[in-house]
Amino acid sequence: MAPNRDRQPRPTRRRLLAAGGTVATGALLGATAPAAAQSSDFDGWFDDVDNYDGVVDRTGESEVTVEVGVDNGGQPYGFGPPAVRIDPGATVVWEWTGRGGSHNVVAEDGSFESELVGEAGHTFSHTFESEGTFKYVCIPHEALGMKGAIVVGGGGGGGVSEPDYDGWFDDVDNYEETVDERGNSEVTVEVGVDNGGQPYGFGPPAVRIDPGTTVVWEWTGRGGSHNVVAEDGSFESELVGEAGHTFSHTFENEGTYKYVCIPHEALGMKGAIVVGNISGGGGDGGDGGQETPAEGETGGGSLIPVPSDFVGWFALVIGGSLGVAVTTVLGAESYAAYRDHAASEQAYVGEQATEAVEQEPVEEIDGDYDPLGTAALVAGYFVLIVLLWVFMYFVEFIGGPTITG
Amino acid sequence: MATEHGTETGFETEQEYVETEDGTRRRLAFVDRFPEAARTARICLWIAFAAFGVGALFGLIQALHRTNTLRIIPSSDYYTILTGHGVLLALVFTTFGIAGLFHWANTRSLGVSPTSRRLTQGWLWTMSIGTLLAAGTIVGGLFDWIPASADVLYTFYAPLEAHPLFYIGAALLIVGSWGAGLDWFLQYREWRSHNPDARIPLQSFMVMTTMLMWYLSSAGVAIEVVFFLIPWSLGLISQVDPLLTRTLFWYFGHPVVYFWLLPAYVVWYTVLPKLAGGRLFSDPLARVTFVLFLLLSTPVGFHHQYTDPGIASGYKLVAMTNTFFLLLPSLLTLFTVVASMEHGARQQGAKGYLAWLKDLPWERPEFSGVALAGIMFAAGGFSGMINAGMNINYLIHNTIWVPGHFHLTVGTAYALTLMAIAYWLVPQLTGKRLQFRGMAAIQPFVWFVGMVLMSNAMHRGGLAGIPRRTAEPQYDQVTFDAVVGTVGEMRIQIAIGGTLLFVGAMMFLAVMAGTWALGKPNSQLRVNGSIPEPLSGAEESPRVLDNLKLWTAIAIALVLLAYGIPLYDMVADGILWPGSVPFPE
Repeated sequence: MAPNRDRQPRPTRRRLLAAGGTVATGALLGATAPAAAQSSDFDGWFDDVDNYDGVVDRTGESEVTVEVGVDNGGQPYGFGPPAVRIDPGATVVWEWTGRGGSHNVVAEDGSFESELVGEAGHTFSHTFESEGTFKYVCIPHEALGMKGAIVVGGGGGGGVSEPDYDGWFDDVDNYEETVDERGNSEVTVEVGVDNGGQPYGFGPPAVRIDPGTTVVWEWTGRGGSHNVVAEDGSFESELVGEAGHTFSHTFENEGTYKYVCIPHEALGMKGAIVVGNISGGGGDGGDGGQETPAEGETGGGSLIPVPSDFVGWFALVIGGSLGVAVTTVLGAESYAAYRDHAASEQAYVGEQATEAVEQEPVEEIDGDYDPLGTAALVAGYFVLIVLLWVFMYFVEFIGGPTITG
Repeated sequence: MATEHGTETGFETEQEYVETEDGTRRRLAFVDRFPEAARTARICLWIAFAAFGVGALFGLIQALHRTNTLRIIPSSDYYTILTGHGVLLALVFTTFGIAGLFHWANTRSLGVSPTSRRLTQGWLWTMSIGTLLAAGTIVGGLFDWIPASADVLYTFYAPLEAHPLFYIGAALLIVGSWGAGLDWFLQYREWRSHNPDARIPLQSFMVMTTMLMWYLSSAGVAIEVVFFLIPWSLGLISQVDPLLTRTLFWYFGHPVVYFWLLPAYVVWYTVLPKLAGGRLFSDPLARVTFVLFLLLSTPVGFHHQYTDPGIASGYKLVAMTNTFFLLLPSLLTLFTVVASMEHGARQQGAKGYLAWLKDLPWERPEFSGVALAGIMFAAGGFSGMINAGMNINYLIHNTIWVPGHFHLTVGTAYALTLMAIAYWLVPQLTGKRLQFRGMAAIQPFVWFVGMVLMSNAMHRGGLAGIPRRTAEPQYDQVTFDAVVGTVGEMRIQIAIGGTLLFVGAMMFLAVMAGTWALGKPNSQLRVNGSIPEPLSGAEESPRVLDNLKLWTAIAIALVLLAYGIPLYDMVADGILWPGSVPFPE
């Protein structure tokens, strides 16, 4: 039901529906397959984190250490490792390396927050009791990509659901679902297949593989020149149009790899490779089983809130009665005011509509009139324009070139 | 009804007056002198106001979305809302409002009823059907089950493609407006047959010069839509030349702003002096102004295309020069209109060098709205000069400065003038007294304050490089550096200003709806519709000013000079070439 909404043919409204579908999917998953509903799809969280290289599995350990201030794209603003999978109940100890100045460790959802220090050897620890994905940052260096995540629980189990592509396939007509190719060591994806009537598609657009699998893209020769370019830059083919051309890439790490054909991206020529057992709903899916009114609001899944308990019904009945009472009183008052008003307006009604009598001027000024005040205002307007031009030319360009060079 | 007494405002005969029960001698309201024309004008204004209400709501959604204050729509729908805002306000609200206003002005000043009921119904239906088609396809973009959309923004640049019904609707709206113009010229011909030697009454002169300018300029967009975009959207031709169609659009796109502005000028020249308690300072200056607009409005469109490749700089320079000539009639207007207001204040006994300003009737919304619109236009004139300057245009091209500018011009000079004059005109057209006058009295000030907040922030945001026409004007890689103030403060001002403007629009519509629903027909009105003679009348101006054929011929010649060679250049390499496949497909 709900996941079908993802495949509406038109782009508009799609995002809202997709959001609704996502939450609904999450709710379903939360209810039916809680063990499988663990996410390693970080929604682009690690897009700007150079030292992110997949989720490091530390399940089975009761205490896991993450270094604070490790090399991240040549600068000491990284967590090492940035993404870790642990068991519920395990403790993560962050240990400061002393490099890169002062850092802190602050959870995105506010569930933990360290002090801001720079000293080597300083530690901060937090024990994760509940399953889920916990993203965190170093606030001073967030913009430099100093971000991390702790994935609590999951990791096992064969059952997977459609990953959350975050709207990536909204405008891709030939996307239906992720094709499961796990168990194969080599998988072929065609480049230039039919996509909504035009030869600008990957076939199939979404594929699930095991880590270590090689994906071979094979050009059909239709639709002109294409290429295969990963969104995160991890792979990129040449731009060719020739049929039979191939390009291959081996995926070692778990994750979702989105890619496009750059010339035809706007026409929906997009694909994704899902490596490993990544499922949708994810972090949200864990709480998705409870039917709370708040969920309907945030997800757009249900637009009419229906109370679920006694307090809700009580509030609805009392509030509704008050509303009816206030409306009745206001309505009666308005009607009375309307009748009074209509009666007083009636006094002005005649046989035909007539205008007011024109007022005579206090003193008639005819021939001899010099608009001196107007002259002053016009002069003032010119002065203002000159000042604004000066502002445009000299103030706006301070520090840069001026009209005099 | 027409008499030999040929000056434009003196059209008063004894039949127009009746003795009322209280013994006073009162003039019949317009609705009883010209019932048919009043009905047509009413219909036009109601459609205009309905479009205004929807467009204003779309505007509020955008202001809150862009500033990240409240995002109730997905960002991909922002462009549907933006298209709806632009088309409903800048095409429907304007064209219908102008049709209503001109129908009244031409009939009133000539004293002749429209000659053909069939013609009037024809253009009214054509414009209405066109509006329904265009607005329907735009709104269709919001709903998946409607298989049509037109998310092409107000400028509908190819290769952005809309559903064919959008283009057909837009074409019908414009063709309908041509029919309206024909209606007014036939009225003039009827009047002329009874007044062979009289000067053209001022309001009718203004209506006709505006419509001549409109015929000349809207031909560009008509050619673009009918010969290129409609066949293209139907799949009859596979591609169109984006540069050629853009050029045809802007050939129309700049004069259309004068098509919006000149009706406001009609009000400023002919009605505002009376509302201030005085008389128009000079009829000849008013005529000169309108002739200059007829001549200069059209050969300037390239100044919207300063950054377009494929147009030689020389053509752009010519367009810039022409544009700066256009300052002349606007500055003439500034002087004449303010001098007329000063005359009004002094006739009411005001003294002092500038103290007369406070003695103007600011408590009356029909005056305060029109005057505030004029003040706003003075500010809009300045930012327009920046837009027109070829070098500094690059500083603000496609930034939010540009919407900041045109919310002062069409968004206030036209819109607030039409709202304010509706407080004066709608009672005359309906025979109903204006309701909710307290709300009406503060409404122009609400609009003014809202626009001051929103527009100044938009202008400064443009100087900081913030782009226009985007749902999410924030980028990780770029920090906008404000020259004055901060970007956060600008966003707050835009959000608050946009909200106030929406409140102002709703107040206006409440007054209009209240007048329509609660007012009683055949009432004794609070307003008087007679317009006094100018201080310096038409007899003091050369008769050649009334030679509309001459001015039209010169206007066409100027257009040929400015556009002949550039258009030839674009067409010479193939009329559909270089082209592009439509998007989205």
